[in-house]
Amino acid sequence: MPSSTYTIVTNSRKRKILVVNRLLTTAHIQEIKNEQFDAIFVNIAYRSYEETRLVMRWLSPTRVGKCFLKPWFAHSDLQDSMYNSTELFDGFCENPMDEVFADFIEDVYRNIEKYGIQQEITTDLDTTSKILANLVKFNLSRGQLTYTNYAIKGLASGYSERYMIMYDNLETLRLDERLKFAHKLEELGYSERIRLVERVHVCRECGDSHQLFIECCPNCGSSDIRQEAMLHHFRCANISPESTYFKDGALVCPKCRRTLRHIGVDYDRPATVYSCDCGNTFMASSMKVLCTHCKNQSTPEELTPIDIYEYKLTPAGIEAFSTDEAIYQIESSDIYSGRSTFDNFCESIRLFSAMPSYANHTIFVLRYHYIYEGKEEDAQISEVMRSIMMHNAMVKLSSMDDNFYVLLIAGNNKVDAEYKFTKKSLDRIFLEQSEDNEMFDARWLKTYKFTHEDDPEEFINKISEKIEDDILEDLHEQSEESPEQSS
Amino acid sequence: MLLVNRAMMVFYDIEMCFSRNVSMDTLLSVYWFLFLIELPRYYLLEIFVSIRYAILKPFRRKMDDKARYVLFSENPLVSILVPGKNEGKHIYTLVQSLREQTYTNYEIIIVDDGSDDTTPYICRDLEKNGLIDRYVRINERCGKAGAANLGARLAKGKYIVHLDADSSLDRDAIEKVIIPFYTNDRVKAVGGCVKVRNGRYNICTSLQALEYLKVIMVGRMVTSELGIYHIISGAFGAFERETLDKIGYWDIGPGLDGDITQKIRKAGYKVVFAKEAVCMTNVPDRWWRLYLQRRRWSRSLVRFRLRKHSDILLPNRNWRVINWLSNMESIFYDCICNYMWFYYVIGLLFTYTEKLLEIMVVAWLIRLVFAFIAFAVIMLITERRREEFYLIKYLPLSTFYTGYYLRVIRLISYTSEFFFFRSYKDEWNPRKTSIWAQAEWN
Repeated sequence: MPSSTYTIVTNSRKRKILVVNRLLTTAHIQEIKNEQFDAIFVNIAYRSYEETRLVMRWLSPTRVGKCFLKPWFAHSDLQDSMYNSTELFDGFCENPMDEVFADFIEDVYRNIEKYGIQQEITTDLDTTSKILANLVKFNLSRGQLTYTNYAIKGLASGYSERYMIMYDNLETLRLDERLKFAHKLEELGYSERIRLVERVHVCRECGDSHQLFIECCPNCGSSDIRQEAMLHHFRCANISPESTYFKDGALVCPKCRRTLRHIGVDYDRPATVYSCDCGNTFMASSMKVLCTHCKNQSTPEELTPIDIYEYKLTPAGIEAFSTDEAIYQIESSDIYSGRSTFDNFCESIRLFSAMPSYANHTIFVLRYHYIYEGKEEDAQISEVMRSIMMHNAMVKLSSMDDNFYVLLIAGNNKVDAEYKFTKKSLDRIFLEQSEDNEMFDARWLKTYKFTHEDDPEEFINKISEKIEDDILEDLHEQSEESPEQSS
Repeated sequence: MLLVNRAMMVFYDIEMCFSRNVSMDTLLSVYWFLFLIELPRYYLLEIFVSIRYAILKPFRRKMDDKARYVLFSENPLVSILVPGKNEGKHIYTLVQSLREQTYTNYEIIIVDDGSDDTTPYICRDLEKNGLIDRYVRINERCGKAGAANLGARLAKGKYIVHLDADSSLDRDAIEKVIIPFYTNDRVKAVGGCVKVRNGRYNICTSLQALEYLKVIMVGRMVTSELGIYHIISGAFGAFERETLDKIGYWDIGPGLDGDITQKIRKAGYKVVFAKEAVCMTNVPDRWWRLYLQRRRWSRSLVRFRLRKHSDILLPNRNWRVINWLSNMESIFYDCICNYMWFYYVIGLLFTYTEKLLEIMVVAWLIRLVFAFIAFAVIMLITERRREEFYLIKYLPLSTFYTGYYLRVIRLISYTSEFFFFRSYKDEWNPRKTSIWAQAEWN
């Protein structure tokens, strides 16, 4: 067993393979350079799911810049112990010198060359569409042009394109965003529908596909119901539940006290009946649906049907993804989570007011003002946004002229609770960021409230209006009162 | 010309008959059946009771108002039970008439006894739209008794109203059929008044409409007043659920409506007829179908009164004067008299062979007079005089219908039942249950 954390070996085709033996933060180890290896081999044989998952995350060819699009295989021992993560690997083999692995590496590089795929991670993965676009690129490098949908454990939409498994945080990826991405690709002519895979039903409140179907009493809704056969005694026409016939191990008619001996001759079972604790008896139980995500209760008829299609990339799509053109085209203008440009941020507010299904929702826009005096301002902003995204999956972020904008959608029945919770969490993140970095200071400026009836243009003007400099100075002076922040 | 001549002669004969043999005993010796058997029971008794009923009306209304007040303040749940096979097409009409009811606290239970047509679809749809409360489907046909029993098991109401699917109710019928439970504590079952809905369809149904008025509305009102009311019609009757539970619900038919009434009477409870609770039903419009229906009804008299519940007639533990009278009345007038009538007709044939025609014409005239009296009684009792008055034009025909047609049917049915136990093999029940019914007596 090799004792070092990693080694780089060369295989029969002169490809360099990074063999990882232990948990390794690839991104931060300066010695490992992008050019030093062509493929990755996870040589871990012990079976700790959590740790191996972490190894995978830090070596992910879809997330980590140095590993981007590189083929990765794992030791055969891992094959049975990684559950649904098994599919994330390109394959399994006994050692890095395996010929199957070598062939696969050649295939991937042939594809990259054939489609002219830019083998570097383009920008920070902070918007949903960018994450999705990189997944498409990854799939393209594996020679896959069609995206068949699979039922995927843990994914809010239940079904997804295969490449969606690559995304770690499946639960937070909203079905709406994924559908929007698919529609956007179609709209731009990057992909086309091949067939309808399945029509699935999702919660009408939150769009989640994780529904529990519960058989229950049509009267009181309790699922504590029992099914019992009714026995029909031919001789005296008595029909009652089977249990009323039980007597000393035999079936005895409760009406005429005769013993029932032979089915079809003495008696039969013409129907089954449910009975409930509430005293109700019924022939057909009803069905209720409980959403595991938002706990909303409904009936099967009330669920929203969603069509899941299989898509295929068009030649235009292949070209757009290879040259990263697609990433600039598909800017996230969806109204949920993720970072977007300020224009798209405003666009999503207009979208919100145009969509009748949001009639009973309210938007909050929290505006934070920041001062940053160091270099690489973009990187710092990305850092802040990423930590916000980690804690609040459901907010939309944008930055504009030293302002952070955070958009939150709340249902009208829990406006205050959601707002308070998010505000508290955001304040804490900004405070932590300010404490970590002396150059950075961000303060809450204002919160804007937008209901479905309001005029979106007026609202957009309001949130983008300039704030007087002296007000801003006052704002940040408060922070300088604290002793450790004095410059 | 010959016909006119013949008619003239008949008329002459009648005149001769009356002018020569006007003495009372001659009349009695020829028409003893009419005067000794039909007149006292069907005319004198009924006239007397009906007039008493009409006079006591204001007094009874006071009692009913009181009972109605108690009923509406207690507001018990009433389960409306409709068992049947392939009755889907009638259900909507029925449900509509139920939605119009003045009494509103009821549940509708439709029991589908193994229908093989579109009934399940119709009923499921009605159930989904909340027009009926419960639709119970039995996959293997188990007979009307079984279907009714299953429905009664599932019912939650204090009272169970049994309805036929092809009937519909007056808008106050449910209220009126429940009220008798509140006028007397011992009343545990109430029969409703059944009338004919398709009375104007053809002669066959018109004659039945007249017959229903006479036999059911007046006849049962009279027996109920006398305390010997013995059959709650299967088309419309109300029962207290607790009592049904005690007597074990329905037994195998045909004729299960008469049977359950007998059982309730035997258990010592009172059974009354609610004339005001009106239910309309469709009757057979073909003579052959009518024959089949009546044959089934008649057979059940022999089967239940003379066989199953013969203990009522014998002085043992179930013997009570009123029940004995009740059953004897129906056995005597429906069954024994029928054979006496047969004997009487045969006797006439042989004794007065040459004068037969004129005897029949005179008999018809006498019956016609009786029929007019009976119609007057109907008009005295009924609540819809105007609508039913048109039936007066069928009176001349009705004497043939009740006097001959129905009697012949009864004669055939009783005889076949007495000697061949036909009712136990009736197609009305599925075979699996009817073979057990046969076992009762074979």
